[in-house]
Amino acid sequence: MSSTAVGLGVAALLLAVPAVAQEVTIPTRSPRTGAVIFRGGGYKPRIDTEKALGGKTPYKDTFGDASLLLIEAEVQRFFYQGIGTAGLGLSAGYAEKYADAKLEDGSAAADKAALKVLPIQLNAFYKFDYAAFRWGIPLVPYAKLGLVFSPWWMTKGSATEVVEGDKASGGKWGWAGTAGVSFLLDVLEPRFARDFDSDLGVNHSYLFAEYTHADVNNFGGKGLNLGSRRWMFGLALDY
Amino acid sequence: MRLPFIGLLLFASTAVAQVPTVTFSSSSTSTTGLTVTVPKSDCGIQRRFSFTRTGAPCEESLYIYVTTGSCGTRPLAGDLTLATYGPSDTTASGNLSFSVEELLAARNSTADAGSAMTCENQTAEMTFNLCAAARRTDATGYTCQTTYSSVGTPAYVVKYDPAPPAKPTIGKVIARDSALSVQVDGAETDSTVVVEAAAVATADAGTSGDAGTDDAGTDADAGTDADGGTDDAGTDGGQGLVGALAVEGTTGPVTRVTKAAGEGNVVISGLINGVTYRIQATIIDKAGNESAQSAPAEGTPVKSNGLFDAYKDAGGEESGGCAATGGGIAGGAVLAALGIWLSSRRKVS
Repeated sequence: MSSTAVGLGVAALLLAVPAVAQEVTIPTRSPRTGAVIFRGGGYKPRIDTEKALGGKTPYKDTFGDASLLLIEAEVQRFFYQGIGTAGLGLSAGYAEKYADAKLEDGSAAADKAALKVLPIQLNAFYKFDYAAFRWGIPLVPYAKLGLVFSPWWMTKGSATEVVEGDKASGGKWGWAGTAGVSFLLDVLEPRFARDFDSDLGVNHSYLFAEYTHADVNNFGGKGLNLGSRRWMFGLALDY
Repeated sequence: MRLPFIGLLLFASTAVAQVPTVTFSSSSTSTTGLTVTVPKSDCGIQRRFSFTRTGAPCEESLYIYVTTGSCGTRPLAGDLTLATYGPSDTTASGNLSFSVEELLAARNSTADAGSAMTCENQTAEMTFNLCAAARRTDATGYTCQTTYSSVGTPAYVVKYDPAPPAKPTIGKVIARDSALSVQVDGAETDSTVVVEAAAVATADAGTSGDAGTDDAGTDADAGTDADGGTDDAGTDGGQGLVGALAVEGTTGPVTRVTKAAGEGNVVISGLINGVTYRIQATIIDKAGNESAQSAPAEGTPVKSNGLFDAYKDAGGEESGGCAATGGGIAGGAVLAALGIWLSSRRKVS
């Protein structure tokens, strides 16, 4: 075989490889319309900050310094996609905490006392993902402001508590502001991210951390304060 | 090769057509699968079965009977014959009734029966088979077999279980708020644990009626605390007041709670904090036999404080309920409307 023939063969091969690669890597981006978010974190209601308690700490006396584990899911809808993304989100979560009920002398009783909360939030959000998509910077800061409604109930044994005729269940309104930053996972495995989009319609994936300031006490009304200051962590999927 | 096979098939089908069959059925509530379990207390109660039959027996009668042996013979001494149908009898269906007492009496007819078997003195478990037996034609379809065959299906079994479960023990009584949690040991699988509690009689209990009425009506713990209510009973088999005084040395109403064995402690709720209750447990086995009562144990429900108790004691102003009920409904409506709006929005590409 002559060296000319070998050279022609190699050249043909080199020409063919980019052609094949180009065919495979043509991006097929699906429309990006919203996001699904899953997050969890410690939730410690500010029950003990109620003024009427006069510095007494029923929450701490019952549960110590422990927080409730709050798990939330959120669905977002994008209404603006330009320099960043803005839209509305609706989330719902659940948290509960158990501890021994106390006898009159302060020792542990056989019954279990529990606080259960089911926070629901409607929020408006903005996330600055322009830099991530345009310049490849994988960090996306964002902020949310929302209306919160938190159904709650307290149990002892297996029944909802009733004390002095008041049943320990209800719902509290409030507001919450959140700031956080997401890490765009696509940069770690671009190929996988593209497959995730073409196969399941998930455009982008993020891990995030966020801080929430929530005042949930019927906007300063009397009674239970279910507000909190908390860090939450989770996974977000743009679709 | 094909012709003999067809011939054999024709013969076989003729023979099948001659085979008498009896199909039994039972609507007994104590039937589990094909086993009818009879406790000692039901020994004299009639058990009812129905049957349908097709075909005719060959030469001799078709027998429907109950035996402790296996089916497929003529009824033997000691078996209880329920029905006999001759070759020309065209009865297509019927009912059968018998009690274990009758089965035991039939056993007494045998020469080696020994002492008479009765519901009272029969303490060991016995199993009886409901059978139908007849002679069939052989493979040719023209000649009767010399022996009897079992022609009854399905194979119902009547199981007489006169032995009560072992007496249980109360392992632990845990005092709860307006309730007692009772650990009962020694219950066999598939049995039911029964716990009864009543206030211990005191010197003045007979006249003051404390346990029965006054305290129950005025004690804030019992009257207003929902934990002292009936929620726990929901997880149990059932709870109710028993009119008779079933627990010795007690006064006032007896609370009876049932729960399937193996499902944890039995919780007796609706009790009065500070009152000592005497508790006894029994076991009812799958057949319905009840054990002897356990040794009594005592427990006293005690008031405990949950988070809301602590909160209210500390001066908390929460009164529960949706303080902003109207706002809650309105807010919920707003959230629902927004959700619908969000989902119905045209996708933005």
